[in-house]
Amino acid sequence: MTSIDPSMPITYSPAAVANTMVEGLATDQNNLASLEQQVSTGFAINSPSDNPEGAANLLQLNASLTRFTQYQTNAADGKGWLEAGNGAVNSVLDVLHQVQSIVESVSGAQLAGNGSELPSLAEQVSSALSEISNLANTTYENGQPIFGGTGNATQAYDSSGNYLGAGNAPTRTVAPGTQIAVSLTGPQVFGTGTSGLLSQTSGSLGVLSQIVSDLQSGTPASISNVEGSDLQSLNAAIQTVEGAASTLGANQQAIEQFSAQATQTAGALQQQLGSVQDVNMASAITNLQLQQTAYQAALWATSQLSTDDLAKYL
Amino acid sequence: MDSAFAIADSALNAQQTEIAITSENVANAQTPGYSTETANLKTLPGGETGGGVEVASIAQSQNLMLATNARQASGALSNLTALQHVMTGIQNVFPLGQTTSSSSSSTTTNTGLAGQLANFWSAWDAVAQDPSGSAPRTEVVNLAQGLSTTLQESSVQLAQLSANGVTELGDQVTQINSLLGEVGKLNSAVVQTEGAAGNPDAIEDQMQSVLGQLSQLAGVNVSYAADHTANVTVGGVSLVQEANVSNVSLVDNAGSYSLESNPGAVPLGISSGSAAGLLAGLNQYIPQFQGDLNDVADTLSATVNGQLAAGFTAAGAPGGPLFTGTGAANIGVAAAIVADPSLIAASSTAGAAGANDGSNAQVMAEFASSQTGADSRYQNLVQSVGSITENVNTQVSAQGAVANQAQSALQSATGVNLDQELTHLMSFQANYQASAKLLTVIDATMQSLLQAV
Repeated sequence: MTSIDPSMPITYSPAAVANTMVEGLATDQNNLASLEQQVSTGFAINSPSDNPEGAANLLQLNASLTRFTQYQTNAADGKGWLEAGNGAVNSVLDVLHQVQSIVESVSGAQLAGNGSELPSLAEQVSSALSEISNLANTTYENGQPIFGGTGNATQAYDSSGNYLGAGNAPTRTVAPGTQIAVSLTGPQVFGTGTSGLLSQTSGSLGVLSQIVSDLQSGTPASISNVEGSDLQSLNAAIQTVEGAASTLGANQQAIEQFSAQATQTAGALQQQLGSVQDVNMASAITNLQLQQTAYQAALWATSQLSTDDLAKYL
Repeated sequence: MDSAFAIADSALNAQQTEIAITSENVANAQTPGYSTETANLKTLPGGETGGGVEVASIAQSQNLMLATNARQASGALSNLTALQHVMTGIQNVFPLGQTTSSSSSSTTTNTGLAGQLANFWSAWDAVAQDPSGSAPRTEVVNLAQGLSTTLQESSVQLAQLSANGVTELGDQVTQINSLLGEVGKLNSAVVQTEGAAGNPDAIEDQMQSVLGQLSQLAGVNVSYAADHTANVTVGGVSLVQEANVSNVSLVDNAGSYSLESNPGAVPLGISSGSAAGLLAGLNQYIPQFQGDLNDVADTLSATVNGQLAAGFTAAGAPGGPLFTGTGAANIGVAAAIVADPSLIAASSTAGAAGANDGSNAQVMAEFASSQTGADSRYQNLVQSVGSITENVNTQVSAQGAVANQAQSALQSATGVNLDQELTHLMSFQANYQASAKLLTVIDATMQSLLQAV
């Protein structure tokens, strides 16, 4: 074995040139494949190694987007509850205002010496009571009683006006760490015991049952009760219900705001996701064309490689 | 006159040898490991004019430095390429799961593990909205089963990747051993040929080819002894010394793989060649991401089960775990809950008072945003796989260029340049014709001399 003559110049053998050309072709092909994938999928990131930071970011954005979409759903559901609750409470108020005018009319009827109207008035208050009892058992679309708290899945009050629910009113998560109550419990709206509207248990009659009972007995003492303490309790109960209506209204407004915020955030996330994930089509297609041209040029050069050697001219 | 004949004869012989060498070069232009041969001509002594020409030796344009460079560069490239295959395999286990092409307005569904996790957490909010309904609970169970299936499959795929790597490594060890054996045989052949004063060039060329293949597999170090035999060292351990050959064997030490010499059982500190890349993948990267995946699975089950333990079932009883098993390979969904989703502890209130309570499920849903939860661990895993793969990809293309240049440099120095060979051929042909012409002239001179007598 003899080593190479140092005076001999470096020559470029066809094999060496071919090597370089094949390497160049392979690189061109890789670039081309990557661009083609981008254009065909529309994604700038097709595997984590394309952009590791971006890939993690993309998963994070997708997760946040799912979360905020869920907040929108939660808020929509909560809004449904609050609307149903508000509707029920406002109907209750209407009924109570009717009862109020009945009760206020009692003294006048008595003065006119027309006691015969009392049973019919008692009848009207009694039917108001049953109407309010029904409203107290209002259920949401899926059958859950909205004034039952978290304690009962089917009914808030039984037929004698006893509260069956328990716990606090349910809440919905509408933003990270933010829960809004989507209803009130029965006692918060209708009161409890003798100051409540619904109790029909003898010995602790609720406001409405007491009025009915006083109207039915019709004695001067009971009539003066109707004008006095009954009317006072009724007004107090109306205030409680009005308070409940304003709480529900405020919550409804809040949940609508959160819903709008969640929608806005989801939109922003979507846009951010797009900027991380989506390929810029115009530039990708331009690059693809440039790359194709480069590849064709390299192919052409390679095709010229072996045709030119001295053997052709000998 | 006799001397003139002899000189012309020597010239014809020398030109013929030159043409034969050119022919050999052209024939081997594409032979791997072949180095261009050239004839060294020398004047023959004799008389006052000299005795003509002879081919003193046939030189081979070996360049040991460039050959070593090329070998090392291609060994380093094989190392990275093998690792690149492993990393791409690992990366494929964790798809990003984008399914729809999206403009910025359309929604992208995410089907990978990350998307499944996000959907899983959302399903808890649905339970919170309807704690007494059975459909949302069933959905939670379905999604939990989907999650555990994906985790299991990912784990199985990683294990499969590892098993495939071990098989491939085993094949490579077989090839390495057969190549080492060849080096040993070629060493004996070199000694024999040189002993018989033959030309060992062809054997040297074969040796270069075998050493090149060996480098791609295991990154060898080669040193040459005075008798031109090659001593081969892999990872600091001498494996071929003249005709003595040690084999390499693959050792599985409880899932940690290594190569050692056999006999001798000396561990090879292998750092180049595709075997090194495979070993790195098998010993480092696959276990690393298997561990990270287990961490995701364990975090998920600890989070979910921990929160469930703080809650109560639809019937008001204390909650039990949803996920069972440890590690991604063994994670499952509790059979009791699959059979009866009302056992999911969605309520925070004990007893009948929590009949319509979904607040525990509501708390569960918020774990989606946890910075230390399964979601963010999985995101870290994907980023980590991505950056290692990206890094290896970059190194492969850089090293590819280096290896290519080293190979080109070697080719340029020792390879056959056809133009050069054909030019030589033409000048040899002219020389041969001139020598032949010389013979006719000498012959004619001789004839006229004889006629004159």
